[in-house]
Amino acid sequence: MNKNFAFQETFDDSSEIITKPTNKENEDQISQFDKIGSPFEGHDTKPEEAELLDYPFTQTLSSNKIKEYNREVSKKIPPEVIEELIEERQAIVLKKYSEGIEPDEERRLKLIEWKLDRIEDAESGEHLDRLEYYVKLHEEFAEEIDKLLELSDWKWSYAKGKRK
Amino acid sequence: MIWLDSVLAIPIIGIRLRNNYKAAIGFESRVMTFADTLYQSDGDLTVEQKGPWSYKINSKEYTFHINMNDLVIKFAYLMSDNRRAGGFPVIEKPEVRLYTEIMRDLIKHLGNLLSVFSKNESLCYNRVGIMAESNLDEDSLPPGVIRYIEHTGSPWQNSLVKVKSNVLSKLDSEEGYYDQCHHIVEFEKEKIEEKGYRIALDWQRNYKEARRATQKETITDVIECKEKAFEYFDKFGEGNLNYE
Repeated sequence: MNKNFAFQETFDDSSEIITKPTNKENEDQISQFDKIGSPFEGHDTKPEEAELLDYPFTQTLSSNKIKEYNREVSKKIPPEVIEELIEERQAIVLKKYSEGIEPDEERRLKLIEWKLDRIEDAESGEHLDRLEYYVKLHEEFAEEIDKLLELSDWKWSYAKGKRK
Repeated sequence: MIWLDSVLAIPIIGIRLRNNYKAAIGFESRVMTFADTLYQSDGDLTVEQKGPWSYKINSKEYTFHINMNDLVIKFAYLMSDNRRAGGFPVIEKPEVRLYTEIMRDLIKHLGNLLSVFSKNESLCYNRVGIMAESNLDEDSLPPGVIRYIEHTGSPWQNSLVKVKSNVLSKLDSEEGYYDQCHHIVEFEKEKIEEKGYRIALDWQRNYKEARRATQKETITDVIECKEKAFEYFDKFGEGNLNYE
């Protein structure tokens, strides 16, 4: 994991918070990330011949990059898995309106809907983002025009006042 | 399908070996046998000695940490830099893959590694680790992660500015083993656009008695652990931990 973690907070059996150094003495409480580093930190050494570079994961990714990669991943989900998700959602929704569901099922439903949203976002999110961008540009342009009109009104009335 | 398949998540798999100096006999020749097999199948690789009985092997997308304490395989996306004579280098993005699909490959690689090491009768393991790491943006946070962050911030009315936390908790305990999981969450509210949220889960099964690291039995254990870990990862993603 992050090599900067000199200390970690860990819970013992009684859920008491203890701060311990990450050394061999408490091996049971060390995450593998502490030992080998996060894959998001990239490789330390690379095969020379293959001329490989670290993927952008030498550092964490920006929100825009995360969005882009997440969409690529969601596009890989096989159609039969999507079908299964839709069926599971339908079954929970039917149960919800016929006999009611427990809070844990309600949360399960939310996660399924989140998964389906990700898939939908992978299909059309890019177009919607573009649309949102153009709407924003349009709004900014309208604001600029308003400002310009206000300014020209003021100048015009000022000029008229001066002529009087 | 677990929620980690919906985002760019990276798996790591590992087994912790019991300290046993008899296992050092022939250790290096086994590492080299494995490196050679890997070279035949994956092509170019680097072998780096990190200390006595400690090696790190990098093949294209996989890194193998092999030492007397651990056998760990991690995956990383790499992009290749194709250089052309008289032209600018062309950087090719790797094809992204589903978390569960990469995990299947890691288990296969672990099987290959064990086929070489399990010939050593002294080699025993007492922990299996199944890990997942992901970098998420504000919109891609699953409901359970939002709930976990809100729960963390509840004493301060969710006015969290910066979080760098690792919570290790015991999950299940049976006669021969107990399960635990590290929940690692890191983010800076003001830098979400630049860095996003880093979420990592490190699920571990600790066996009370060390088990012989034979290929078949170990892989059976690893597959069972993977199923259990995935079940827990989805429970965490749903927010179905006991928050009340």
